[in-house]
Amino acid sequence: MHRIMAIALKDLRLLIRDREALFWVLLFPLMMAVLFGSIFSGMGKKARKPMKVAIVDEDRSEASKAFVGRLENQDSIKLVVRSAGAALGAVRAGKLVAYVRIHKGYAAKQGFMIGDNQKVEVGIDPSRRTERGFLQGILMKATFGGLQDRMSDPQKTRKSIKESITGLKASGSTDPEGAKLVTFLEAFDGYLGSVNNKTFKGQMKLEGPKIEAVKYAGGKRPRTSFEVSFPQAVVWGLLGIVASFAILVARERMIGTLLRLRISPLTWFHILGGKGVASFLASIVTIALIFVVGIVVFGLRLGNVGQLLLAIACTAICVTGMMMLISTFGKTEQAVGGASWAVMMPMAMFGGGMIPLFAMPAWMQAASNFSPVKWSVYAFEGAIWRDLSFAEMALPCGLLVAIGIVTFTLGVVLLSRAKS
Amino acid sequence: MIRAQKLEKRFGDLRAVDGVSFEIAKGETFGLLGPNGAGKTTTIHMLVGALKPDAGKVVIDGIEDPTLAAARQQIGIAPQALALYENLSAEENMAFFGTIYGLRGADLAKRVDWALDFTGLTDRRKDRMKTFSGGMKRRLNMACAVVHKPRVLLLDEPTVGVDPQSRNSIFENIEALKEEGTTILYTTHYMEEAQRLCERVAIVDKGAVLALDTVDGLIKAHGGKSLVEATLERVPPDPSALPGSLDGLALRVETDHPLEDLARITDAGVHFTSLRVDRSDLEAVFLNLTGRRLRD
Repeated sequence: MHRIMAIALKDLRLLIRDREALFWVLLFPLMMAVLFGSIFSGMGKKARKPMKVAIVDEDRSEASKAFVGRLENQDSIKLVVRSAGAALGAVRAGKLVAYVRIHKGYAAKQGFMIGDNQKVEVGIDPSRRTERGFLQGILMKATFGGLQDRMSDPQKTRKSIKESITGLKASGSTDPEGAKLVTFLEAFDGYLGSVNNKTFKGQMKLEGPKIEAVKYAGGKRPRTSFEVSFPQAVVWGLLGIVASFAILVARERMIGTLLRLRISPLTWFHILGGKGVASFLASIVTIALIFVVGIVVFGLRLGNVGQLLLAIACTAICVTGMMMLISTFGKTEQAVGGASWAVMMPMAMFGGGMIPLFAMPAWMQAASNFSPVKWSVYAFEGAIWRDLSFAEMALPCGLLVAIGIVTFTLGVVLLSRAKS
Repeated sequence: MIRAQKLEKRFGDLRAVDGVSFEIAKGETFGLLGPNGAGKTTTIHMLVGALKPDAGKVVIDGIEDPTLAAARQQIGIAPQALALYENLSAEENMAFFGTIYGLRGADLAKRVDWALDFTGLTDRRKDRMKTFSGGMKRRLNMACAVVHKPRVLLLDEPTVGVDPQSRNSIFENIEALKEEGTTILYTTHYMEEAQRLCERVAIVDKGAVLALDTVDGLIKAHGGKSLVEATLERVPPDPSALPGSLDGLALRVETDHPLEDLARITDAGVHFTSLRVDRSDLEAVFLNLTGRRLRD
C-alpha cells in the first residue's frame, strides 16, 4: 500500500504543480458554473431587465388608455411612448423588442362578441423569438382584462350589446341563427336593465381556470440556477482531471519514468493502482472544492449528504476508468491531450455539461443517455435538489460505476499490450 | 553477479541483439562499449526484464527471472533518457524512488541525504529538477539510481550531454561506488570512459559482442602497435642501432612495447628534444575489429 500511495501522492503533487491542469480542473469549471448560473438566473431579479416595448396610442380614448395602463402594470415589460414611425424604426434597429400600436377607432369598435372589434397592431423584432410568445401572452391578458372590466359594469355591457344588435340588424342577414342571437341579446339587455347597478358590480366576471404552480409531492426544485450550474461545473472539473491524468500517463511513457517504474520492484498492479488512487482522490478533492465555493459564495445546498457522497464516489470511479482508457489514445502527451478533449467535449455537450438537458432537442436528449456526463449530472442533481431515493440513485450511480470498471479494464489491457 | 547468456532480440527485421553473452563478477565494473545502435540499451532492458529476450537467459545473483521483485530490488538503473519528474525537487525525486524500492521514514531520509551529498546536489535539494543544468540532471538521474543502495548498478550512457565538471563528478561517484564493492555495468560510446572506469570491456557492434577482455588485453589483442615519435638532440654515432626509422633528427618507431624501447634508446645515451608516444587504445581496437570508428 505504501508504494501505491507513493505513486498516488507523486501524481497529485505533479497535478497541483501543473498550472495549466489546475486551470482546467478548478478555475475553468468555476467560471462555467458562475457564467451559466448567472445566465439562467438573469443575475437576480434586479438585474433582470423588462422587455422594452414602444406604445403608440393613436386612439387616445379612455379605453385605449385603460389598455395601456393594464400593460404598464406588467413587471416584465417597460413601455416607451413613441410615434408610429419612430416605434417601427426602433424595433427595426433592434433598440426595442416590439411596438404595440393602438389604431384610431379602438374604443368605438369595442363590440360585444361580434365584429372586427379592437384594432391593436404588434410588431416584434424577428430575432426575439422567445419574447414573441411572451409578449402575445401579455397582450392577451391586457385585452382579457378590458373585457372583464366591461362585463362587470352593466351599463357598459348594455352599450356594447345595443351596438351589436344594431350591427346585426343593419347587416340585413336572413340567417335564422342571427335572428336567435338578436333575440338573446335583447333579452340579456333587458335583464341588465333591470338589475341594481351597485349590487351587480363585480358579480359577473369572465374568468378562466386559475393556474397555480405547486410543489409536486415529495419533490424539490433548484433554489437557484447555481444548483443546476454547479453539478455541471463539477463534471467539467472531472473532465479536466481525466485529461490531466491521461496526459500525465502519456508523459511518463514518453520521458521514460513509466519504464523506470516498471523495472523497479513495483508490479503493474502497484503502478496502475497508484494512478487510479491519485485520479480518484483528485476527483473527490475537485468535487469538494467546487461545491465548497458553491456553498460559501452561491448558497448551494448539499441536499442529501449520503446520496451526494454516493454520487461523488461513483463519479470518481467513472473518472478513474475513463482516465485509464483515454491515456492509451496516443503515444505522446500532445496526442493524448488532443484525443481526450476530442472524446470528452461531445460527451459534455450531449450529456448536459454545457446546456441543460431540458433545453436540448429530443434527439440530443436521447443521445445523452450514452454520455456518462448525463448520469453524473443527474446523480448530483438527484442528491442536491431532485430528492431522489437511494433506489432511484441506483441507475445513474450503477451506470457510472459500470462505465468506470469497463473503461479501467480496457485501459489496463491496452496499456499492458503497449508494455509488452 | 550478472550473467547474460546468448541473448537475442529482434524488432521486426532488425536483429537488435544477436547472441550476446557475458558474466560480471561481484564488485566488478564491466563496460559495454559500442556506437549508438549497437544494442547496448536493448541488452540492459533485457537484463532488467523490461524486454523479454527472444532467446537466451539472464541471471541476476542466482535469480533466473529478472522480472522478480527480489532481482529488481538489488538493481539500480540510471537510464540513458533522463527518466525523472521535472516538477519535483531533487529531494522529492530521490524520496519517491527510494520509497518505491522499499525505504521508509528515517532510513529514507538518511539515504536521500547521502545521495544528495554523494552527487553534490545538497545545495539544490529543494529546487525543481526542471531548473537544473544538463549535468545536474544527469547527477540526479544517478542519485535516484543509488538512493536505495543497490548491489548492482546499471549505468546507460550516464555522461551524454554533460559538461566536463559534471562528467568528472560522475566519474568520481562511480569510482567511489566501485570502492564500496558495487557491481557496475557501464554502457558508453566514449572509449576513454570505458578505459578509465572499466576492468573488463565488451566491444559490441550491430547487436553482437566482437571482443571481451580487460582493457589491456583488448588493446594487446586487437589494438595494433603503439607509435613513438621523437626528435633527437643529435644523430647518434651508430644510427642503425636505433629501432624504427630515422629521417634527419626525426625518429619514428612502431612497437608493441613502447616503454621498453624508449628505455633502451635512452640507455644508449640518446637524448631527445621532443617526444610523443601514441599508445594504442580501445578506439583502435574498435577500428581494427569493425573497420569503422566508434563515432562513425
